[in-house]
Amino acid sequence: MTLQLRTITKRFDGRRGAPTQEVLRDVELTVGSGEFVSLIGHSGCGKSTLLNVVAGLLEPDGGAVVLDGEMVDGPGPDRAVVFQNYSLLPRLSLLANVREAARAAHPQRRRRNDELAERYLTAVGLWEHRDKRPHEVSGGMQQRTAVARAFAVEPRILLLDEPFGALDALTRARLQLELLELWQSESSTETVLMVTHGIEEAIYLADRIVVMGGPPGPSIVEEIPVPLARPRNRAELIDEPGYHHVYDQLMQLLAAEDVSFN
Amino acid sequence: MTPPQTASLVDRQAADQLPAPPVLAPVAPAPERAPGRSARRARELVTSALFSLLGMACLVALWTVVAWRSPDLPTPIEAWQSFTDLVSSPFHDSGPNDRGIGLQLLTSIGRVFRGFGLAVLVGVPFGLFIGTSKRAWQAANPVIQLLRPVSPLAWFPIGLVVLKDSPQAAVFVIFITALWPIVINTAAGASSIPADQRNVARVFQFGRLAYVRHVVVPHTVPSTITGLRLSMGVAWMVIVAVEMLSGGSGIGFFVWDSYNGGNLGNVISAIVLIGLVGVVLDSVFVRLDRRYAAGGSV
Repeated sequence: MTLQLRTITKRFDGRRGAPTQEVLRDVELTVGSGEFVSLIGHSGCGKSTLLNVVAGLLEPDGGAVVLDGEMVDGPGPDRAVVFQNYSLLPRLSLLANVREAARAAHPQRRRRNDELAERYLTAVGLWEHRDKRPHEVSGGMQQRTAVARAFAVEPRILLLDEPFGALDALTRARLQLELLELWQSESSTETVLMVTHGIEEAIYLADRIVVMGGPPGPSIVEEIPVPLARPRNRAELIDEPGYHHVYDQLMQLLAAEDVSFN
Repeated sequence: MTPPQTASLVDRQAADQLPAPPVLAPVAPAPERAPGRSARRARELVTSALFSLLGMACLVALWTVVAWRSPDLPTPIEAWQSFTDLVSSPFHDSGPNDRGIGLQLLTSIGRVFRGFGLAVLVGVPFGLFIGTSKRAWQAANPVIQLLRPVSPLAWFPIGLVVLKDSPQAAVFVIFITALWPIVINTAAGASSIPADQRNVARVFQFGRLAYVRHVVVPHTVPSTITGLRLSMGVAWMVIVAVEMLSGGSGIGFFVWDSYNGGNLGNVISAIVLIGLVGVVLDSVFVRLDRRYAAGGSV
């Protein structure tokens, strides 16, 4: 599984006569099989836009998204998304949210979809809450359901859009761990592309961190590999010299990007 | 209260739920507080009932003053006489010019239900259609905007010509009356589906049927219920007017017939009964709305 972004350009038309805004310019990125890549940058740098282009929710104005040699044209079940605001369907139970997504993505295999829904809802520890509606459970449980939903469609690549940004620190840490466990388990999902604004989160989870810069010239500023062996232990991580090296690099890059720092 | 534990895979969802409030003090004050609170609630109930009665009393007082100035208008006591006479035999049927008030009301309710039911059958699917298709909306919107402000009574002659039957034409007028609020509110609901729900449907490739069933309909139901409630309210108002035109039967005919017979007491009694039926009809939709908001199905 290889994901290639070739000179992606995206512009948004200004509202009420405001000038057209370029949010992505000539973005080039290759994500290899089994890789976990984090996109990091300040708000407005286009990282979520880039993720939406990969998801097929937005059409690029220039360039192409290529998945295993095939041009991406619109959304598809090979790329599942975990949205920032959970985005569960409010009238469906947690189980139905997972199951209906699996059925929609793979309409021809009904029994397997039900098995997958059960397996992943169990894996995120929500099987006993399966009949509850989203508003009846906490934000953490909703996002867990969204993660289970994404894995249950067996995507080739998992796209995460600041998935844990709205959660408290403890819940976030637990969900990060669960995400890694699911990703490294027997699931068919090998590759993860995650948008985040958390430096620690990016280092803890990713093999490679892609730093994006905002306008002018909105594009990739730097790619930083994370030289930390897996499985990673969060508590021991901060004692590793590699961790601090990456952390300092990221801080410098992000500070240089932030206009208010200069 | 369980003490906080380190995160393990087993208890993670338990720890994730809202914690129980800490028990800081023994629950001793509760039995003391309980009677005080219920007494306060009872007093509030009595006070609000008194003010409701006060409003009614003001109305009756005003009426008495007007009746004193204009002798043809029955006083509240005379009207009460007519009212008790009317409701003492509501379902008698001694020919077309002497039917019980209950029968007249049932006739009108039946017409409203038929017209309203037709409007639901046509209006809900049509509203969903124009709410989800931009082109259909562009085609339908001018027609709706043109016809919506027209008094439904203006459709009565058209109903008469096409259906060649006066009671049927009345049902047709109710159908037209009820149609617009249902169509407009359903379309508004269907066209305002949140972007994240649409994105979910796109990412997971929901088919047309699954999209309508799991995204469009659940999101649209509350505004459709609002539309149904508005429709029923207007339909119940219009039926009185249209039966004055169509004649023969129904509560509107009864009002007009009583006026022509000089029986204003019957007119006032009918007004009260029409109001009561309207309150009951409206409460059905309020209850429906609450039930859906609480998570029930409709």
